[in-house]
Amino acid sequence: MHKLAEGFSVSATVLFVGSIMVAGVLLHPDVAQAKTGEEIFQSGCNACHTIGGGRLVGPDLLGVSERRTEEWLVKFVQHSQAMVEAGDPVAVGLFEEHNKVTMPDQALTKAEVLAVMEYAKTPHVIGAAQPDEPVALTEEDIVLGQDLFEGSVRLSNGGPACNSCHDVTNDAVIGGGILAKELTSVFSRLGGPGVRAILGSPPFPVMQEAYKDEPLTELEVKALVGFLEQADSEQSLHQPRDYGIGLFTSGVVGSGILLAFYSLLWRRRKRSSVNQSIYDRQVKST
Amino acid sequence: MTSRRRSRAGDLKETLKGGDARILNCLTPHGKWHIHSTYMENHRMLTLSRGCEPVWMSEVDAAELEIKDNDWVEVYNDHGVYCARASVSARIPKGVCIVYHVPERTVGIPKSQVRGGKRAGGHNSFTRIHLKPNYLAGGYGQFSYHFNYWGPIAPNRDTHVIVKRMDKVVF
Amino acid sequence: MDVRSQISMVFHLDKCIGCHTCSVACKNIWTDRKGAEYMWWNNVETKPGTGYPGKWEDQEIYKGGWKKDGDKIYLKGAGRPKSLTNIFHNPHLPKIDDYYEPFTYKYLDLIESPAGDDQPTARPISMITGEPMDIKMGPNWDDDLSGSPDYARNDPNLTKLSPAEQEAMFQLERMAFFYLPRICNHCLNPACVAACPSQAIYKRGEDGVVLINQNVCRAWRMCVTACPYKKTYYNWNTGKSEKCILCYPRIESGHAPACMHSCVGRIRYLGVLLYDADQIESVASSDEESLVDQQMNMILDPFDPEVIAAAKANGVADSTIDAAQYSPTYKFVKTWGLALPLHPEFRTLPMLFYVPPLLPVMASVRDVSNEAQQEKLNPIAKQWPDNWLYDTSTEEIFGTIDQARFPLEYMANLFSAGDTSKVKERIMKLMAVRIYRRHKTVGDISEEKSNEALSTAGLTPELADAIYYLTSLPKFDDRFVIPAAHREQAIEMMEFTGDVKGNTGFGFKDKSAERGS
Repeated sequence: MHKLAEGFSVSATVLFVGSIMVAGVLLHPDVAQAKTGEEIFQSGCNACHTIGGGRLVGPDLLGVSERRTEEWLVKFVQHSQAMVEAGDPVAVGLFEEHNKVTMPDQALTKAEVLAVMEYAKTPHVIGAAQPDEPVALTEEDIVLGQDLFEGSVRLSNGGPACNSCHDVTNDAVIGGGILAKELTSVFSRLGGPGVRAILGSPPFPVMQEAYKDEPLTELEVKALVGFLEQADSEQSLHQPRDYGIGLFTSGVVGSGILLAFYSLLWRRRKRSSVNQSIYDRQVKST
Repeated sequence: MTSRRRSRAGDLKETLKGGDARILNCLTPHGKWHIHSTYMENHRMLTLSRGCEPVWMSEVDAAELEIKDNDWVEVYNDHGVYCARASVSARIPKGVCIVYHVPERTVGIPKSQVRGGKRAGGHNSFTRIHLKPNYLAGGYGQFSYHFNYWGPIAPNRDTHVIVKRMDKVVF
Repeated sequence: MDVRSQISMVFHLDKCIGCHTCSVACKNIWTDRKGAEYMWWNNVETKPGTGYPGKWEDQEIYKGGWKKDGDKIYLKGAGRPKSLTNIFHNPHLPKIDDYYEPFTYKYLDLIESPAGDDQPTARPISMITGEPMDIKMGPNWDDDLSGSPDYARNDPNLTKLSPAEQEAMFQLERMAFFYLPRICNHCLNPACVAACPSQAIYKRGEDGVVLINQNVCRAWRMCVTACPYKKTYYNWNTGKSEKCILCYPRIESGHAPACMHSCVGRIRYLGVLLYDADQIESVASSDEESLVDQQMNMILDPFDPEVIAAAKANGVADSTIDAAQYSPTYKFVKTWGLALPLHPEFRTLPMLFYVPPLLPVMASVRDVSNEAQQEKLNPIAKQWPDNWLYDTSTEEIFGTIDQARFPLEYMANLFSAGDTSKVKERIMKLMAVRIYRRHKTVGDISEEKSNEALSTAGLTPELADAIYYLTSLPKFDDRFVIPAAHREQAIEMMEFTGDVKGNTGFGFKDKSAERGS
């Protein structure tokens, strides 16, 4: 009787929880409301791609659906890195062509990818950064960039400082995190417009999440790009400093001084057991 | 050796052939943890005493024999030997040494140096055992030489012994 | 007046036979664990002797307790500035060899050794390392004056005595010793509590038991240094310090602590004292001469209506006040003035009091001609060149006190910060009771003389009867007057009892254990 009652209560629980989950899925607003191709493109793709605006970090997407099959496109958007690793010839070709910058895997459904492709059938040169447009940078901008990168000046919208996750070899800033890519030569890899576009609307899932509600301002983007450009061009001047034997010596001397200090402090300490002399005179057994 | 000391050397005839030595009267009074057959050889009581059953000696004798407190010593006469640690105390009169209760050589007793490195000593080794005929009857446990055997015990050891410091302690 | 209650103890040293049943009871219950092998929350020492850990009374070595500087007192070896400079190192801690390295024996060798010429023996091995070791110290190493040249003669309490007085204590015919059982004193001004940087040690509000919170302790070991009685111990296995808890789980359920319950000589008394917590600081920092008197003064009369009202206002339960009125410790400490704290000069205001031992004073040595007697002695008997005679007569009633085998200075160094008059006063009372009882039962002392002894000591026959009763004939409930614990009050402080009211025995029940399921 006991066992039966128990079994009943378990199945009732499973049913109850299950129905709640189904309801949750059905009622979830994101599922119910599909985004348009334009919205999706503007919310991430435009960091690296244009539609009819020429090559940015990645290729121009105008009419891409005519160049590739639908199936390939969906697969590539969702798992580009896996495809490169698997040795898909077209994917590897693209990877080599674009300075070995991998395209982050996008959390988009098949329908969403197709919506973007539909949108990309006609040119839309809006919102995307203009390549090769010279930007006027002042010394202050670069210093601000340093400070923003390091976090000594807070991002005005409250986003986390760059060095929480990134590092850059530059004496002006303290070492950063190793959670994300090292950025010393990012400028030569992606070019000014690419970096600017990524900072403007990050395509990487973690970065996207981090700056979703706290985007960088125009000025901050400009300053950071300026700093990264300088860091890239001056990287040969900013190598880790070699202290030689000095570091080791100062360590030894420092410990010596500390030891001497504490010996002085503890000179009246209790050095041995009160009965040590009694113990010492006794014959040790073998 | 004076005639007075010779007269007490009934248990030391052979032993004293090795030369003149200081003779002590070995007694067995009741210790506070040895009421009748109470053993103190469990871990708790050994910790509360000295980890063994020591030989108590007076400060005066110990100084003459160059024995310091907690030194290993051998207490011996013609009959046998007993290895123990010395407990040197102002409480013991000159000329006397005290062993409160049976020492078991199974627990932490080193080999005897005066017996050529053999595991000697224990129990009543330096008292003469007087067998009563009824001890021999039946083959019961009271006459079996084993761990914790309950053999014929000379109720009070009152014998004469020589005490010597052990220079080498081998287990 | 801030009236609080304190569970206090009295140990009657004349009754202690040094059997260590208390130590074994305590050890078996509380410290028979890994990391606690060397701890003896309760230990019994032979006096004179250096005790456990070695020379614990010498605060020049261990820096325990408080020292007076100007009008205030400071911890001798701990406190904020000292803790800071000693942050990586506690320079005055006892070493394991000051206690003793716990040992056991390799018993397995007895049955697993290969066949040989000799029988095997179980070698001593360390309980810490497991390696063979030589036993060189134990928790009761100088028991019964064992090793007196090394230990008893180095008793820190002897230092204030002249060399001649010291030597006299170790002459065979004049020799005496007594046992000193020690547990945590559950002090009113505990140095361990003051020294703890983690604030892990606290004095329980309801009964003054000093406890170490094992969840908060961070192994600073400042309490080990600070406690002048060396009654906090560091557990190397758990990384926490531990101490006597006065068997509070037993006390809360109305049982006497294990050491007291098991005491063969029935030397231990336990009861409530009411004291004025406002006075703690001023008493602890008073002059050395008045320390004992001041400590006695801060213990309040539980029959005084003002004290009762103040106690009630402070939340002391009626049952606790009731227990304080029947407290045997109040009688010994205050009513009769027989008990003294151990080493009051450490200024921790200990709440464990000792009735000083009388035994060594009852007999004295008299100046007579010994030569005639020595003629008759056996030649092997020890011959003393002096002319002293061991004398137990009581012709001069208190005349033997000053010539006692144990110099009064020695007792005073232990129990009254060196003031011999305090010890003498108490010993006179104890002696007067004995003379009175001798008059009553043996009859060889006249009533006149007995009354003279009582009145000189400030006693009456009624008081002497009461002292005699509680000393010699007390029942279990006379020795231990334990107040109800009132745990319900402690629970009420934590949670609202209305939440669970009426729920007992009703409502949800966990799946019960079922045989075979």
